[in-house]
Amino acid sequence: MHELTLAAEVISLAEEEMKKAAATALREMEIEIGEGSCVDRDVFEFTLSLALKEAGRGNVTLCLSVVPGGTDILIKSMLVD
Amino acid sequence: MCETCGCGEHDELTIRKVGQEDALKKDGLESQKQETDHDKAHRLGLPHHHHEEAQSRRIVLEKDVLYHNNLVAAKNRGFLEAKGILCLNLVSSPGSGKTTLLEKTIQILTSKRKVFVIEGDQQSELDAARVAKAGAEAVQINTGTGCHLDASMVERALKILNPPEGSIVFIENVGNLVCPSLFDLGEYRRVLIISTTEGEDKPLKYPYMFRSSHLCVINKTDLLPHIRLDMGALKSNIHHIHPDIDTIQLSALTGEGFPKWVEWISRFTVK
Repeated sequence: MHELTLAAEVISLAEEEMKKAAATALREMEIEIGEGSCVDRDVFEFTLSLALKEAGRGNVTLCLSVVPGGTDILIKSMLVD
Repeated sequence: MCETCGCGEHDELTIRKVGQEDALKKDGLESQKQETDHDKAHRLGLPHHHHEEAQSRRIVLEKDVLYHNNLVAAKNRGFLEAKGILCLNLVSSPGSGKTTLLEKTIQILTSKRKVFVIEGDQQSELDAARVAKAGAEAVQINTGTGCHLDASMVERALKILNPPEGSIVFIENVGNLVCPSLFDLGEYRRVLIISTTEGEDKPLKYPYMFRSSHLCVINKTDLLPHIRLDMGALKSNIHHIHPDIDTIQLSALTGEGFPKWVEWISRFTVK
């Protein structure tokens, strides 16, 4: 459930940032998952890639990493055209 | 591990039998860990990503995925502060006695100020009916498959309740010691309730909830003569995780310890 909610949030934030940057294509996203969050990395990766495809953003490379000591889930960077 | 993003390893998952730290290695099970295509690409050095192209640009964000939730939480906090409303977010595992605690608290506080409750459960309106019977105006949020409340749910509930200046709003979160710790709702204080039947080790098992709370209420003290609980060890574990957290022992059933709880609440209520 979390993963679905968070995937939608990630896409919403990514679209906002792409608009700001006048970008047309999203190539890659780097996301850090705090180990204390209840987010499963593999489930999140799967859910997010499906949600991206549904949003018309297929072929996005996802780089998800789990970091110690926290609950934050951060979008570190995006590679756009 | 990928040097660029650190992904591709399952080192965040630990399966360990007590006293056998290297069980996986000894049993030769390490190689049986699931490997995704992405991991495989890393291991074999295949060109699967980090393919920065000439026309591509990297936007460095460092942005919290819960950015929108946090914005709405800040909005809720602003609304509550502007109206001098005390908002407490009650979190716990299921069955710790949150609703019984609320019922008794409402009975005590309603003579002094208006009390409102936002109830969060996956299904049913049972808890909202109980707190309404105790004298509070209540809204029930059913989250369906969701395991926590978020700031926008609370925003909508506040609009329905429309609490007046100087009132108290309790949020009874969905019973869960993990997920609700992620979501700021805009509350003034987060109150964690654990019961004496949950054992001494809860703080060590669920540290993030303990770390993010301001007060830990240890409920069901009336059961202490009948169970095995080392209260000293429990408190020590709580303070090991969060040295500054306040603790109050009480029984929502008998009312033992309630004056301290009511006094704690009254510290924050607007005179």
